[in-house]
Formats: sequence, structure tokens, C-alpha cells
Amino acid sequence: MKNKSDLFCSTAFSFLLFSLLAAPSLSQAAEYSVSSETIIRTFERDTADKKDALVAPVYEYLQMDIGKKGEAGISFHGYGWGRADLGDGDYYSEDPDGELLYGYLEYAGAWNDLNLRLGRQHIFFGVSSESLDGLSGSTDITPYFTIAAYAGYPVALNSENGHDGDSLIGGRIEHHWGTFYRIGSSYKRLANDGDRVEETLGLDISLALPGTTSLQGHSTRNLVTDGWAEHFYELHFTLADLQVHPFFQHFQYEDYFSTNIASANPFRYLAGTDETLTVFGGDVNWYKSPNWETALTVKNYDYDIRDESSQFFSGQVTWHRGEDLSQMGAEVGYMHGDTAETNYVLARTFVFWDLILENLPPLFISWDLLFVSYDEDINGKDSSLFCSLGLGAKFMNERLSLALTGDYSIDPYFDNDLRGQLVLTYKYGNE
Amino acid sequence: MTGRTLVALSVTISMLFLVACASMKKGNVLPLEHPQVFENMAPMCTECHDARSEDVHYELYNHTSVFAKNHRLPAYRNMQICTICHAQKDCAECHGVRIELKPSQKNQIETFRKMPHRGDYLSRHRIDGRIDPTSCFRCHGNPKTAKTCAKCHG
Repeated sequence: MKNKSDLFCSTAFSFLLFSLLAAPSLSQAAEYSVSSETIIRTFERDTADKKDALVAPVYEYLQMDIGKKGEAGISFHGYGWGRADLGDGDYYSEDPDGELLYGYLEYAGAWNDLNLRLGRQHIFFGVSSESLDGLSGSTDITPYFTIAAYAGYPVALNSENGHDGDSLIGGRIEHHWGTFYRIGSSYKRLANDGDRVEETLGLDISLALPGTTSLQGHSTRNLVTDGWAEHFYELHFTLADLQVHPFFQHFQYEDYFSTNIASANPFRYLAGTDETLTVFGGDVNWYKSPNWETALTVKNYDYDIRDESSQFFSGQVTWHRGEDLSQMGAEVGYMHGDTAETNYVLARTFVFWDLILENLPPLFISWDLLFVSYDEDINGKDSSLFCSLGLGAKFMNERLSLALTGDYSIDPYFDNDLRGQLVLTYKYGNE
Repeated sequence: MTGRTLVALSVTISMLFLVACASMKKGNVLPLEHPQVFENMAPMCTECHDARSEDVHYELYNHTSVFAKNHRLPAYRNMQICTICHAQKDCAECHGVRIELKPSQKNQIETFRKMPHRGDYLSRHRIDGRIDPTSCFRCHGNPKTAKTCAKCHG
């Protein structure tokens, strides 16, 4: 017998398909757009039954939006995927064959940023970053307050005895005065089979300081364990052509992770270690010209119980050809831990280039090369190399796009791994 | 009255309250869609807007080369600014662990996006996960999104 989650997905998928079929008749009443992305991959893997089994999944990712863009009123938004394996093994035997990622009706008001959503949706409100089957809403009340609320079933827990007894509720209230400051408080309560598994309270702030400086951050309190799970605060300021962004984070594993049904391994184990992690560092971006982008990142990690520290340094340079996406860049990173097993050096170069050639459709090519050297062997190897080359073309006023990529990697888990991927993207609608 | 009825009742009242409040007095009015579409470039908001306007702190939304890693706080505080340009699909490309393919696999050719887990992340995650497991937890921290972890971690 199907559980409520399956029924919900089936209903939503049916609505999505109905909407797709009905779209032409709706075309005079509303704008609609559909984006179909078909991905065909091929590679070989050892499975329980077969060595070097051919894996050839065909994915279909379908996105649909119905409703007038940029205007107040009701609209529908949906996105989901499905997969069929044309290979000769059972590589995906334990995985779902598809999922509805979101499918919701939205009402956008003409005043006060009123927004109501009904259906499967992802919510980001303060302490909440959850997939929800339910109802959410937000609006400004007076020029100085914003409120948001949501309620429904948590999608994350529908694999744990279905939706019966599950609930996810929460919201956020914010007081603000222009962009001088914003102070928010948010709340989330998650229940599985009627039992409270998560209850979280958050405080967040955004504050304009003198000059170009701003401070923002949040603190999260776990009401189940009655402890502070996370503090995260950062500054932003500009010095000549430099954008500087220092930050500070502090986590208490016992309060940040959890040991109950709403969590998963290996995080349940970490919750019991009583560890605290403090991270501080920052990044600096340098914009001397619109074509050049340079960024430096430094992070320091301190552990209380392990009594260790680690550092990460990264530098990246990107050159942009102009106002399109054509660019090339390089990145070097160094992770330095207290032990050899936590040290690595990473180097990456990449290219993405649009080509306009006479008598040919618009072309684009890409290149990716990533090399990592490990201080201590992993599965007997001390490095990994990944290389990817891609070629694509756009047709029919760029509504149809075809992209072919080939990857090669040699690393601690694969001796010589070759993979191919073909992506066919087709966008249509009456916008 | 069951707990479920109470929840349904309080949600209905909350939503009616939201609608009533929305019709009372003018607050911020963000556009529902950005007038200019940025299909082929990553926008720097401050190229057109002041760093701070009356309603939006545009500088915090500049799509710099590290914005992909640093947009958590601005997004959590006001997702509606993101939705002026982005559909939820754009978030799901990286945060939707349930799309099965790694972000860098699904958008293999778009190398400029600096997608997470590019290349041999199976090896690298042993180190990154030990250094900072909190960043793994944000996307892989519940039973559904941890299915990729469960194959090895149980």
C-alpha cells in the first residue's frame, strides 16, 4: 500500500503532467515555460553480481512554470526527475528511480512582498533549510517588520514510516530599519511519528557599520539538547579595489548534530564526541578590472577535544573575456592538518568558451583539469587526476542545446575511469 | 481536539493574519522579477546599484568568485531577493542532494560554476569531512539526503 508521501508525489506528478498536456490550451490565459534536460551517461562499475557491468542511466529532468512572470497573481512551479538504466547490471537497485523536487502553487501579492506557497517546496527561513510538503507564507507588516511561517510534512522523513505523525512547523519574524539593521528570530520544530526530534531557535542580525563595513551573522540554539549549536558572524568591507570578508564560526557537535531519527550516519556518531569546532578566516577579492578576478581564502580550524588545528589556503584567478560566460581560470589550494592523513595540495585549471563561427551554430567548449596530491596514501595511491573535455552547440535560437563531455580519472578508488555524458536541453514556452 | 487539528487551525489563522497584515500598510516592495535577465553572465549588483539602497544591501549579493561558497547568510535572511532572478531549481542544482547526480556531474560542461565535489571528491571527502563535518551535514544531514553516505557509513 502506498504511503502518503507516494500519494503526494503521484498527485503532484500527475498535476505536472496534466499541466504539461494542458499547457497549449492555457497559453492564451497564462505564460508557461517548460525546460527538459535529458542526460545520458555511460561508465563501468563492479556490482554485487557482475564485474565491469555497463551502467548507462538516462535521466530526464523536467521543470515547468505557469503564470505571468513578474506580475502579482497565482502561478505554478514544478521540477522533478526520473531515471532508467539501459546498462546490463543492477547498479541502481537500492536507489529511487525519480523524485519530485518541488511542485507548488504560488500566490505573489502586489503589496508588501506577500508570498504564499502550497505544495512541495524548499524553504529558507532563518534556521530552516528544509523540503516541505505544506503551506508557507511571508509578508512585510508595516515598513519595519517582516514575518514568515510554514507548516506541513517534512519530506526528509517520509522514508521513515511515511508521513504519519510527522510535522514540520516554523517561522521567522524580523525587525528592520531600511538597510541600517535587520534583526530576526526564527523557530523550527520537526516531529517524526509524533515525537519531537528537532526544535531549534535562531537569532540573526545584519548591521550597517560606518563606511562600507557591514556585519551579519546568526546563532542557533538547539532546544532539545538546550545548547548553542552554531555561531556564525562575518564582516564585509571594501578597501580600494579589495573586497574583504573575515568570518568566525563556532560549532558544538553535541548540539549541532543529533543522534535521533532525523539525523544520519556518520553525524550521529559525531554528536556523541562532545567536540567543539572553531573556524575563523576570510577571503579577499581583488577587482582591478572587469576582466580579472582574484580571490584569496584562508581558514583556520581548531578542535577542542582532539586538541588539533588545521589550516586551508586557497588562491584563484579568473580571466573573463567580456560580458558573456567565456572565461578561464586556475586555483591552488592547500589543506594542512596536524597529521599527514589530513594534508593535500590541489591544483585546478578550467576553461569555458563561447565560439561564434561562420555557418555554424553557436558553439561552446569546456576544459577541466584537477590534480590532488595527498601526503598519506589512500588505497595505496598518493594522488588523483581528473580531466574533463566538453563540446556543445545551441540550435533553434538557443532553445535547444546539445553538450557532450568525456571524463578521465585515475585516483585512489579507480585505476582508469572513463565516463561519457550527453546532455540534451530543450526549452519551450510562450513567454 | 487532536494535535493535528490544532496545527491546521493555527496555520490557517496564521495565514489569514499574514494576508490581513499584508493589506494594511506598505512595507518593502521587491520586484517579482529582475528587469534584466542575466542568462550569460554572473551579475555584480553594485555595477548598477549603490552598495546600499533604502531596502537592499546590494553589495552582499555581488556574485563574486567566492559567492557560491558564501551566500548562506544573505539567502537565509531574505530568500525573496534570490527569487527575483532564481527559480528553486537553481538552488536544487547544488542543495538538492535528491537529484542523484553530483552538481558537478549534472552540469559537467559548465566548468565556470566552481560546483562543489568536482573531480575525485570520494577521496578528498575523507579529509574535508574530518576537517569540517558541519559543512557536509548541511546538505547530507537527514535520512533522505544521507543515502549517498549510507552506502559506506551505514
